Amino acid sequence: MKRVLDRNQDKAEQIRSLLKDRHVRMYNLISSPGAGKTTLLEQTCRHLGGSLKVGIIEGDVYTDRDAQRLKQYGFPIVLINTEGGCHLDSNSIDGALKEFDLDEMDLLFVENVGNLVCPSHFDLGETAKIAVVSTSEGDDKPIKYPMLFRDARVVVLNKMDLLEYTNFNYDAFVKDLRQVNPNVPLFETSLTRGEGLDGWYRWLEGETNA
Amino acid sequence: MHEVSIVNDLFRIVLEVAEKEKLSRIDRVNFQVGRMMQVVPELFRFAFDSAKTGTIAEKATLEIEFVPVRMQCRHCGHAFDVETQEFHCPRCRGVNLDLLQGKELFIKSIEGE
Repeated sequence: MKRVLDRNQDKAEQIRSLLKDRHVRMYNLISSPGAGKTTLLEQTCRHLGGSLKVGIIEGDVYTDRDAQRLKQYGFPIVLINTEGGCHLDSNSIDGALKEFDLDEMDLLFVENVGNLVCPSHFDLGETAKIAVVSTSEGDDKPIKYPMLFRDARVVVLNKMDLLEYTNFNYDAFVKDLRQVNPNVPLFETSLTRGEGLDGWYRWLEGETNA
Repeated sequence: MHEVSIVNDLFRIVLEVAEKEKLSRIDRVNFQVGRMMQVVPELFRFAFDSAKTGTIAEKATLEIEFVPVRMQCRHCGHAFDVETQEFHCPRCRGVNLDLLQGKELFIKSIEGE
């Protein structure tokens, strides 16, 4: 009996212990394309400003567009182009980490490739997975993608400002999410307006001081 | 399409084992996958057939065995299979569940000579 993806898992565990050693927390942001990962990072970078030393690993299929959007905040960014690949793996993260001075870093955000299935199967050695989902995608995501929503340590429900224009059933979403992950913190945001982020910031700060 | 990455890793292991066991031909790979992994069998087979071309597994068949998602309720201890994406205990309706199985990605055996 041989376990497939063991190599990815072993590398992820190495990364996890390296980051623990250097007191760096790494958050793996997972969502479908267009849910708001990059905008969440933009808002978060703006908010954290000079208070924490942040690094970003940007997973992108072919382009550097997201990295370009994030450049203005002055934090170091490493871009990983997956050349069509639908997820990041621990080996590519291992390579990217070599580009950072980990002793000069508090927080690392990994923006995974936009996809709800594949990224949730590949441990990157992250401190926690963050799931981002938006009202325009429909309310059935937690039940359809239980692997991600079970593993997520935080769920961000974005585009709350569009709720009234969609058929998103908020109560059904919360009920399904609670079934899959009863205690996960849920933050409801309108990211393009910069609204609803206080809980997220408090969570990040709580983790920093933990 | 995480199927492609899984198949690539599967082939790495299969060819490693074949070399160790001095196999010159692989006839069959018996693979076990948990339902939680959301592997689409058609995509998986397509990836397998693409990867085997030009290797000693060129003529190999792939057997996929699906393992149901099995949970145990932390409240009443009842263990049950999750069949319709209903993630709560059928006995007490508790939602604090431990995953017992369903995340498998195992090569059970490799046949060849």
